[in-house]
Amino acid sequence: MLNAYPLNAVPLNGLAPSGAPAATVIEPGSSFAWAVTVTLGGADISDKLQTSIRVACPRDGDTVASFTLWMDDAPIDVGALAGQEVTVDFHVMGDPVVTARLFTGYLVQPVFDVFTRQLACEATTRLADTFESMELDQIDLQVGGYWSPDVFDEVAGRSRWEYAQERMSTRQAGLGVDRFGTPRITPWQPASISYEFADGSVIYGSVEVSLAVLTDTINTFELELDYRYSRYRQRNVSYSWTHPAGSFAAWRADSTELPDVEMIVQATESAGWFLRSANYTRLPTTNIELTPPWYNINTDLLLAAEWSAGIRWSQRAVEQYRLSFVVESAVASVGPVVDRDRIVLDTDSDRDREWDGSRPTSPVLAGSGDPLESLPAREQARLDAALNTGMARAVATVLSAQRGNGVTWDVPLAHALGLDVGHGVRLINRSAVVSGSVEQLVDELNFETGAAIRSVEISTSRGAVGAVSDALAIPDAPEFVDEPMIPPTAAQPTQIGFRSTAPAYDEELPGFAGNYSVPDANENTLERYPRRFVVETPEIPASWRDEITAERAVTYRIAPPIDQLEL
Amino acid sequence: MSATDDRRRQLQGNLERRRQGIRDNLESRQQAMADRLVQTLADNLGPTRTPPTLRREEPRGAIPAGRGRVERNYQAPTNPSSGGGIASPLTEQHFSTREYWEAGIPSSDGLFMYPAPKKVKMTDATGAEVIFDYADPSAPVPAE
Repeated sequence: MLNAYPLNAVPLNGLAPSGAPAATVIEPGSSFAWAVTVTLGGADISDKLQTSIRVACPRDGDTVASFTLWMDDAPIDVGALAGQEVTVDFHVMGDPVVTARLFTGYLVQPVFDVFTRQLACEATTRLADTFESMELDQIDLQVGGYWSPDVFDEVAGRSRWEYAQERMSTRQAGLGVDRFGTPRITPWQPASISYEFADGSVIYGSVEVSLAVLTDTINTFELELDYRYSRYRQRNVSYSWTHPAGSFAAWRADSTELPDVEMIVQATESAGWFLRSANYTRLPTTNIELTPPWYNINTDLLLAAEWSAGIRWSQRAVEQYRLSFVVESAVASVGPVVDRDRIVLDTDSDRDREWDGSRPTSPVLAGSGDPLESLPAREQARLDAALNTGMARAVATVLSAQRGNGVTWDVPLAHALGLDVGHGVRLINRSAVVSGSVEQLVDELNFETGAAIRSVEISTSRGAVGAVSDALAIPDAPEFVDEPMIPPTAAQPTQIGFRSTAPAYDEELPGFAGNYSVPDANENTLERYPRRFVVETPEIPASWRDEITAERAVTYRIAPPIDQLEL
Repeated sequence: MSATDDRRRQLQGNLERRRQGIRDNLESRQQAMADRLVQTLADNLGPTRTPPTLRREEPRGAIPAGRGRVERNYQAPTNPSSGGGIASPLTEQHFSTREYWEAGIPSSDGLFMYPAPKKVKMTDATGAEVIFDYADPSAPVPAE
C-alpha cells in the first residue's frame, strides 16, 4: 500500500484519482425488451426454460447459473446431462441487438422430476476442478502471492485447489471466474471508479446496507514466528609455555628435562579440546660448530611453545519474531479487535553431534570436508519465504476485515450490462453516497414478470484520511546475547625438581614439571618430580549450550483504502 | 409523472411477485441443498487448528572445565646413536689431566702405596668429553 492506494494503482507523484479515466455514469434509463439464449451441450434450449434463470457471479469462487427446463415427451438420457457445457447469453432487443455473455460453465447437478418432466439445472464454472488439474508452476503463475511449506503443509499429495487458495490468502484479491469461464483474479481495491450510479438509476427501495459485526472487524493482527536452528560454535583459547632458562645457551649451561610436542598435544586432547595451531621452539639439532659441539637428534623436545586450543559444540537457538499489524484509526475508535497467527520453523538437531566431535580441517578450504559445509545452517531464504507469507496473510486478513461493510442494490440489467465484479462503483442517491468495489453480481431473469434485474453487492473499505502505511520489510534478525567469557591466563608455569633449592612438587600447578639433569646434592636426599605437562581448559557454561532465544518485535501500521459510506 | 409512477408501481409489483415466487419456489430440493450446505459448513468449521509450537529441547548443560595431564618420566636421549652419549674408542688426550687420591692403595705388606686415580678425562670418538670418577680408596676393606 502506498498511502491509501494499493501499490501500482496510482502513479507516484501523480494527481492520483483525477488522472484515472472518468467513470461511466449510469442515468435512470428507459424500459427495454430482452431475450435470453441458453445452450446445453451446444444445443439451444431457450424455448424449454421455465419461470426464471439466475446467474450469480461472486468475486471469490464459482459463478453459478440456475434454471429449470421443461423437457418434452421425447426420451432423454438423463445420466449424460451432467458435465455438458452451458452458456447463457442476454440480449437487449433494439437496433442493433446488444448481446452480453452472462455465463459459461458446466451442468453439475441436474435433478429430473419424472412426474412433471421438469429438469432443475445447476451449472457452475468448476473452478476447483480446473485448479486441481493444473501443474504447480501454472498455479504459481496464475495466482501469484506467497507460499511457504513452513506456513502451510508440504504440497505433495495435497489438493491443488487448496494450494491455490493458500496462495490467494496472501493476496489482497479474489479468485473467481469471468463470464466466459476463465479463472481470473480481481484486486479488492480497484484502480478507479468505473461506474457511477446517478440518483434514480437504481430500483426504488432496493438499497440495503449490511454492516460488519464488530468482532469481525479485525484491526490488530499478532503474528508470531519462531525459527529454531543449531548454532555451530567454537571456542579458542591461547596457551604459551617457555622454559625458565629463556634460551638454549642458558638451558645448556644447567640443563633440565624438557616437555615434547606429543606431551602438549596429548595434554590438550585429553582435556577434551583439540590443537588448532602451534608454534614450537624446539631444542636445536646437532651442531658441531658450537663450542663445545652440540649433539641432538630429539628435536621434538621443546624450549618454548605457543599453541591455540579449540572446542566445538552446538547450541539450539530460537529467533522469535513478534510482528503486529495495526490499523491505528480503527483501534482508536473501537479498541483492538485481535486475531493471531503462529508460524514455526524448526530444523533437525540429529546432526549436531557431527559438529560437536569434529576437528577443523587445515587449511579450511572449500571441499575439504569440514562439517560446516554440509550441516544444516540458518537459511535466510527459508525464513524470508515464511515471513513474507505470514506477513502478507496478516495484512490481507486485516484489510479484508476492514472492508466488511456491504451495500446492495438492484438495477435493471440492461442499464448496467458492462458492470463486472471488481469494478469500482459509486452510488449517489438521495439517502446515500457510497463507493466501493463490486463483490458479487446476481442476475435474475424472470420470464413470468419480464423483469431482468441485476443485484449489485459492493464492499466498502474503511480507511482513515492521512493514515500511514509502513513498508512490509522483512525484520532484521534478532541478536543473541551470549554471556561473556574471561579468557584464562595463557602463560603456563614451570616447576623443576631434583635440586636442594627446589620447592615441594605441586601436582595442582598446571604447565610443565620436570627435573634438573644434574643434582646439587646426594640424589637420595632430593625429590624427583614427575616429568609431566598439564593443560587446564575453561568451562563452557550452560548458557552457551542450552537453548537460547532472542526476540525481534516490530509493529507495522496498515492504512486501508478509503471508500465512502454515507447514509 | 403518472406514467413514471405507474412504471414504478408496476416494477414494484413485479418485484414483490418475484420475491413471493422465490419464496414459494423454495421446494424440498432447495431445502435439501440448504441442508447439505449446512453440513458442509459444519464439516469445514470443525475444531480449529492448534497453533504450532516448537517441541521442547532438553537443556544440554555446561561442558565442565578440563584438565589434560600427560606424564612421560622417560625422556628420550638427545643423542641415542652414541650409545648413551659415549662413542668408542675413548682416548686420553693428556696424561697430566689425571687426578689421584692422596692416600693411594697400600701394598699388601703395607710398606708403600700405589697411586689411586681419582679422575680420568677421556674423549670419545665423537669428540665428547667423558669423565671417569673413581671412588676414594682411603678406607679399603682388607683382603683376607
